[in-house]
Amino acid sequence: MSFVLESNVSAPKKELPPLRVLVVEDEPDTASSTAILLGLWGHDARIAEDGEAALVAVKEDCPDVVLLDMGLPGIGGWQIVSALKDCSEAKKPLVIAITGHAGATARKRSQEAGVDLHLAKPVEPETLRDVLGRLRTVIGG
Amino acid sequence: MHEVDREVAFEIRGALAPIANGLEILRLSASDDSASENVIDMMQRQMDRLIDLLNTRGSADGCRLASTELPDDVPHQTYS
Repeated sequence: MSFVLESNVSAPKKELPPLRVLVVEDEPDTASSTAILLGLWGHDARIAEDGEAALVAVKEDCPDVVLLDMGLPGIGGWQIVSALKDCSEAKKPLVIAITGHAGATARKRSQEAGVDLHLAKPVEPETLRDVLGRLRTVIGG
Repeated sequence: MHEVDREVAFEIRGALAPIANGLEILRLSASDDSASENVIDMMQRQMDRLIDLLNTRGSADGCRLASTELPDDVPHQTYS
């Protein structure tokens, strides 16, 4: 009985605010399925289908996280990472490169561009969920 | 790895990305139906075979990168 009482009075789990995630990806199926998953995990996802749209989105409002396809045609991942440097220090997004280039060279390029985390496609959803979950705790906790 | 192989691997990884997402979406939204669960598990196994193949082939040329590789902690000092 006391157990029931205790569980009744325990503080409700704090609801953490969703992360605002910008998905920069030109392949429509990958972009939309990523956005759906992010939504199912409780985050706010926005898609930029090319580098130009990404730059516009970042200018409007710096997101908490950018999932960045480094192999975009036109304005590439590198330039987008550069643009993120204009975000104020407190709002600097976590940049996660998601790329089909799985090699050490691609990884080095990402690192040089200022990417925080480099993941090879296909990313295990669990991995992404955990990284975002940890970040959510840091920002909202 | 041969240049053509590298291109093929890149394309296969790109195609597997939405499939991996799709499987997780199905898992999260599917009803308790053992037939669906079995099919989802089967598709996951077959996808894992392909990923293993890509990672193993790549390793011969020193370009393997585990898709699950994570740093010890997410950089977050700018948020604190």
